[in-house]
Amino acid sequence: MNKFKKSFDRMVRSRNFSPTIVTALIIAAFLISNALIYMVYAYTRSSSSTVEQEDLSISDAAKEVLDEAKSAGKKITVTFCMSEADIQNHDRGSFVYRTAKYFENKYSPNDDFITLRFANIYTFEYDDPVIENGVRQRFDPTAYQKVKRTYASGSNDKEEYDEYVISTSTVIFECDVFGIAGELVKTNTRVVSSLGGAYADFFTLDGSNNITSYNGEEYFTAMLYWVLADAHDVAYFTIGHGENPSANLYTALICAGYYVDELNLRKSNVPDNAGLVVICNPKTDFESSTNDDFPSEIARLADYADKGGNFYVVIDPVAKKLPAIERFAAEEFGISIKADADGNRFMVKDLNNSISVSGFTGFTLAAEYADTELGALIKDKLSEYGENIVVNDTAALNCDESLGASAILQSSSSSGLDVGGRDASAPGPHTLVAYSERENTYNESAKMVFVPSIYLTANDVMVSNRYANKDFMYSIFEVFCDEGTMPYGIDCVAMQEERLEDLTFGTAMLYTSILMAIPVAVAAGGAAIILRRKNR
Amino acid sequence: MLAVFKRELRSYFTGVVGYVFMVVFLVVAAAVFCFTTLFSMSADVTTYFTVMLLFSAIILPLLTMKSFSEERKLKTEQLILTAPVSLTGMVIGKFLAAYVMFASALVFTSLYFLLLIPYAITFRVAVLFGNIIALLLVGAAFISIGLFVSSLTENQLSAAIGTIAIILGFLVVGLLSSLIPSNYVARYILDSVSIFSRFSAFTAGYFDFSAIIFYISLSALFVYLTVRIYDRRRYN
Amino acid sequence: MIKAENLVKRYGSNYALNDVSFEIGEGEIVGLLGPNGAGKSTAMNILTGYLSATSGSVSINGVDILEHPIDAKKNIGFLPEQPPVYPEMTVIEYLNFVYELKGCDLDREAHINEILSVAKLVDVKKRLIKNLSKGYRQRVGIAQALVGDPKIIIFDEPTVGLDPKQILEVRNLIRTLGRRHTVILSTHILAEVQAVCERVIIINKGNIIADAKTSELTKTIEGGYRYEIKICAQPKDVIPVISALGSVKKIESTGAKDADAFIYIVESTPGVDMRKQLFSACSSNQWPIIGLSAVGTDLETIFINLVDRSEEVTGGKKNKTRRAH
Repeated sequence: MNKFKKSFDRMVRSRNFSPTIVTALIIAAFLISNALIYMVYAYTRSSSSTVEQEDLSISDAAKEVLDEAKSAGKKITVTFCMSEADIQNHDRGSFVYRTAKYFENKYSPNDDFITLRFANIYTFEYDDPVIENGVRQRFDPTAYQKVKRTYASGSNDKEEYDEYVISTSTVIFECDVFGIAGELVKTNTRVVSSLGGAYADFFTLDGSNNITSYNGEEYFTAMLYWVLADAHDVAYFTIGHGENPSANLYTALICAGYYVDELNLRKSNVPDNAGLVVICNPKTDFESSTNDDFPSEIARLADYADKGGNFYVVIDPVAKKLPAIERFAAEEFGISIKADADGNRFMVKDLNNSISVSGFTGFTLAAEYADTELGALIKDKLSEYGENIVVNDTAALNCDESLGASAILQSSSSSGLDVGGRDASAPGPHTLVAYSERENTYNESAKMVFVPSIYLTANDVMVSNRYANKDFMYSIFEVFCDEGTMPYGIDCVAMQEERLEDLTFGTAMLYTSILMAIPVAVAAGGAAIILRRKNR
Repeated sequence: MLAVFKRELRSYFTGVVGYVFMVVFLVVAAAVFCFTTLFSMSADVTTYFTVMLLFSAIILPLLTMKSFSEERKLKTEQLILTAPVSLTGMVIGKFLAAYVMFASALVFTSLYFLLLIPYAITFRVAVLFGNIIALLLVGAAFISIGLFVSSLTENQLSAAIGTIAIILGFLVVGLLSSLIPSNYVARYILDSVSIFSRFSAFTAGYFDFSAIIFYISLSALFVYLTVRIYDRRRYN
Repeated sequence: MIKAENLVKRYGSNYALNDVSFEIGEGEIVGLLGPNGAGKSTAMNILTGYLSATSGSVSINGVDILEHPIDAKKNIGFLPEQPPVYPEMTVIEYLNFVYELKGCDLDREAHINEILSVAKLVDVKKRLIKNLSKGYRQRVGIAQALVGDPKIIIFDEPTVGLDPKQILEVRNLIRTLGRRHTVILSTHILAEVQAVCERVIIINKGNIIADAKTSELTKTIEGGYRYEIKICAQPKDVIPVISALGSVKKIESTGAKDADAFIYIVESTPGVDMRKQLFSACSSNQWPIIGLSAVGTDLETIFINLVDRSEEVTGGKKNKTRRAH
């Protein structure tokens, strides 16, 4: 190196090249070569990476159900409305395709328990020809535009149908059930038409319709359950009071095996086939008395309760009070929202157990299972899936045990209550979600689950694999329908990978203080060293 | 060269400069880290490194401002230049001392991201590494610019300001290049020299080898220029 | 040992060194004598490689300083005008640094301890250099020059700013060093050169005007003295009479007076002691002499002397070295 420099210097001196010129040349060479290398790089740069999908994470319970179905001789067909090549290249469809393939490979690598088909909805042809009984089958999309419902309870004489629009991103699940002699008894059908966008049902979308996560495994499993079951209950969402049921709740109900419909209590009674009435975040109160001959909404609900109905009620504690519906819950089921003499609600706060979840304002609490029968049952069931359930902006509930009310979910013992913005000096635990079951006049039990918070099913918590909110929902639904199979504990694949979860505010503060302490230590050490030297 | 390196590194810690640098760096790094990750509930390394890049542009000139200025002022450079040490050896020794300070602070504070692993859904280690390497290299470039400017003047403040000015100059070049339409050669040249815009490739997660070559050659260029300045002074 | 050939150092149109050549052998103690700005420091800086000559060459022990700078510099220990010490280091830290810088392979601890005792720094070895007095700092500078036991040690004005006692100590030290090393020191004090050096090179305005053994030079400049004489008599009377004296080269009145005596400066011709003649002349004219003292047996005189002499010989600008006998 030195030799090179020396001969370089000698050359410079001997040929009278001014070193300034040489330096200028070197700078120019630097600029040009960099520009060239940059151009080459810019040309050859490839596109960004895609999200990797990992292996199936379906739970043991899910596997059990499938094993059982297999041994009962049922056969499942999943039909895609795109060619296999097309769906593999579809940015969303490829996920669903991979999930379907995994299922096929895992559960029926060598048999036809699960069969995948790829059809063309315009030519009515399948990708691979389907031959049954020597006859080549054609795909008829029109056959799926109207699918008959089979109700678990209630009137079956009135035939009701679900109507679907068949598009290229529709997925059709069918299950053939065979009799003892091997004859085809019936075929259960479920159409996933993804109205909200291509394959949208398999994904969770945010407000701007961007994908936040892929929960296709769970949805796929739920659809398999759907077609494996013969009949389903209906969950009715009340309308007419400004309710806006969250999409997550809606999807959760479908995955739980319900048909979902709307119910306008001003116009009709609660139908017989109602397995569940969902009152989701009403803004105005229910009518409790009318001058007409028609019964009021509350009367209709009371009627349903008397026949042994199930209620799932979500009230936003921050919004306006709704005396009629709250009175209904209190008088019929013994659940009421804690409030002071002026009617201000008691809101639960818990600084020690605050977990930050992005998108939530204020603090988010970690909830615990209550020490009641149902609470313990759910806790036990969910123990393998995770314990963290988070809620936010929630009020505390009163449970009247004489009416059969008890807590399922409660806040920690270090929690407290705020009322009207001031601390109420009320140490926890406080009931966050309550359940009530009571026998009615006909000796049938009516059940209610009351949730005084609209955040239990918020997007961020539902797509998280760490929080058990979704599994908690399923366990609640299982309480309502005795024979349901719920897709518990199936992870979703997060698209927004960079979120942190399960980090409590306290831990964050702890880390911050440790990290800030380091420079303080350095400064102290430095000061000591310098002071010692100063006087030498 | 080793002697110069050791002495310089020692002087950082027997005087106030080294500690001030370390403490300020650690405080800012901890603050930025906590804000952009813990309190934003995100494992995104991008924001942190972008901020640390800008911070480095300000604090590294303060670290290098005394490197040569003081030697000129105290005339201690006479000792080094009459000793059996090559000019290049002297410059590189100083460079390494400042660089070791910077690199150790940077790598140490980057370890903070390990805290996030238990809470992150996916933690892209490759992106973290890419960013660390990129910032290490940009830091080398800043330090070499700082050394160069420091060798031009006896006044430490002028050295610091001059260095920041040159770094800002690169920033301006990067901004100006976006005014030139895409297919002109001039744009490529300006883009290729822009320290800041080439860093953005790393924050986006790509590993841009051509930028690495750029940063290394930029550092080498300024080290060379510093040596040339001293060589020229001998004749004048 | 050291060979400087035709060194020229030009700053613009100003020649700091104008074709300077000299050769210094092993073991010599050489003084570089000259007024401020003569070019002594420039010459030393070029010898040590801190500056580069515009033209000419320097070789140390046969090694050209431009071609193999590192090998050449290994043989040199240098104390510049301002000791190149780092205020925030302790003495011993500093010496260790210099040790590493020079790439020595002697036994570090023993060598440094030896230097500390030679430079009388043992008591302050752990002190911060910025807490030391100027005298001690100078000693640290000297110590640094000794690290590595270099064959050649160059001191640039080593006694400037020291008190008389310290000056004596430093001179003693240099004499001691001279026994085992080649020493070059620069100064503007003739007495220093006389006390310490065996050989002196006189530089003025970038030219060497004398290069001789100290003893010889002293003899040379003994001739041609200047005296300040205070005579109570008018210049118009005094000057013609004194000028007429054979041993007087020049007399002029300074214009100043002491009581009623006029003060004159009298310069004698070379090699002549005119004091007796002056006394005789004044007494025969009955002019009281109230003061007679030697003036300018310093550099100024010598230079003027030498310059005059060299100008006489070459009749104008000098651009050659002169060896005076």
